[in-house]
Amino acid sequence: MQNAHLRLGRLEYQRSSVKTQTHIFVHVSQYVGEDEQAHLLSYFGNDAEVAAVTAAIQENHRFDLIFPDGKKQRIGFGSDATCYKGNLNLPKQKKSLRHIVAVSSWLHANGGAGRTFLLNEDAEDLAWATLVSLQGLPADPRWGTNILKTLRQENKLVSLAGIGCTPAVVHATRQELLERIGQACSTQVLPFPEKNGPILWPSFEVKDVLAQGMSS
Amino acid sequence: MRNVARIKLGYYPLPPSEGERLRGLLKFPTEGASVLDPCAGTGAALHQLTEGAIVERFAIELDADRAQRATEAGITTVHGNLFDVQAKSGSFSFLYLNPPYDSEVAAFGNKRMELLFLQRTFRWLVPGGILLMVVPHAQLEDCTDLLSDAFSRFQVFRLTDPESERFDQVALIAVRTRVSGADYEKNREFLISTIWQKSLPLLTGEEPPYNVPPSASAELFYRGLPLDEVEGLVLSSAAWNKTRSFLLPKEESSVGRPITPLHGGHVGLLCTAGLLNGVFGTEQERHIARWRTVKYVTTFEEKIDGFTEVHKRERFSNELALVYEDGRTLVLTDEKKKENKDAERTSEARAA
Repeated sequence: MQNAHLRLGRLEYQRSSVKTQTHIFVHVSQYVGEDEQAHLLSYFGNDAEVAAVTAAIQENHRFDLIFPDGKKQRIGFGSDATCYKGNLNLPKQKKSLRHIVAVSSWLHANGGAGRTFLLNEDAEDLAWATLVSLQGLPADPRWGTNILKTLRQENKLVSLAGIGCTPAVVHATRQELLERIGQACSTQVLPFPEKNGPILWPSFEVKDVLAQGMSS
Repeated sequence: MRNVARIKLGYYPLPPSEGERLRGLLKFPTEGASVLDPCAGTGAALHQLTEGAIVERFAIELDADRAQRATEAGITTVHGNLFDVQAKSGSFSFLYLNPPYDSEVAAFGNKRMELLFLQRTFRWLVPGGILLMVVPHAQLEDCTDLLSDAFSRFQVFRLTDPESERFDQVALIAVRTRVSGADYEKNREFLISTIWQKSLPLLTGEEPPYNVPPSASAELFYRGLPLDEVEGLVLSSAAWNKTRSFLLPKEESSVGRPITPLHGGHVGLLCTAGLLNGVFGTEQERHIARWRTVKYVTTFEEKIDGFTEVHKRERFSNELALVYEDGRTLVLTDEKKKENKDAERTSEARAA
């Protein structure tokens, strides 16, 4: 892909102590957040910068996130954030870059407490499959359009701020969703599968989902 | 800057008619020289300003497509951010600055790009080297301190192309000079009077030219990250695979017919593993079934020697949700859930 700088965000971390002043930044490839609460942050950079930002996340410090359009937002992860580490090996450079995906405790328990985070709201098949899988719902892939539409109309499906993806959150418990499906089935709005047997769901790869999010 | 302008990275190319007139201001040496445009676009302006001259052209451009076109036009182009590019002091004879008319966001304290581009590149000019800046008239004010400290022989012309008038564009031309402390104030006063004279002279193309000094072949070094390449690599990072269980749906369906009939134990195992989800039953009892694993956490306290120990006992169980064709729904769970009303239930992903 080209012109990545148009899609990447920037995370700035500033901290002043008695003797030292720290001001560092890393590039952000993906972000999911609700106002000041960050849920997912994928960032990369050199060892020192990434280590400092990761430590600051674990210490529950706050950051300035600059979106690709220049908008600025103060963000933090809250307690119990988890950081997953990866390496990026650049063919022309001897040293590899560090890559981290930081996840809030909310997102880590995705589907619990009546909140389900969706990575790419625009991809309806992915959004529906994620909701069904994380909530453990008996459902059919064809029902997604209808159920997601009604959730959106009732403000139960709310878009979130994102970089490199179009995230959303569904505010509904499993019981609520099950009742919604039951009601729709009873009024024959949803087509019930014609044949007995397994229901086949599309499969998704992280790489493809993220690439789709970046291009949307 | 408006967002529309930001999207095209503040790319407003020099009108060709102005380029033609500006070319008349420059006289290039026959020995050869290195010239630089740090915000080059497709390189058309640099080509026009150095037309017919024996020069080595260098460019820096942030946009991949435009950088590619500049390279194809025979210009040595660095694709990247100017602030990640380095060059030796005194490398270039001519510097053409037409930076984005915008402010930097945060990194340098929201300073104007016109000043930042000048600050970054002016040392790359050889003594006697020529600076040509095409900027909105008002933006020269921020640059006066730096210009009067490092340049002399200023001239400012108003550009007359309709597109240039829209942005109130002027062209400032100056010569790189070591200005001594005593001359600084005088130089500054001259610059200010040149910039803010009542009516700026219009550029006609007939003005006496500035002599561009010769210089050796130059080199540009890019120290930034290759963001286009890294963005692709990030998608395959191992870090993402660890987040799959709570970001994406789990593949649970299994198809195919077993070689021999399953006995009760097999069916039980497959059900609880979520491998027998699907549509079952006949007529009014037709339903979709879905199994999932749940974790129950029971908390209890124990008093030992005046201390209270808090114990958490975890237990995994299975749950079956059903939706019938007529709209009935049912969740079958084990009895423990009713017994322990304070039990905490976590998602399948968390349990995994």
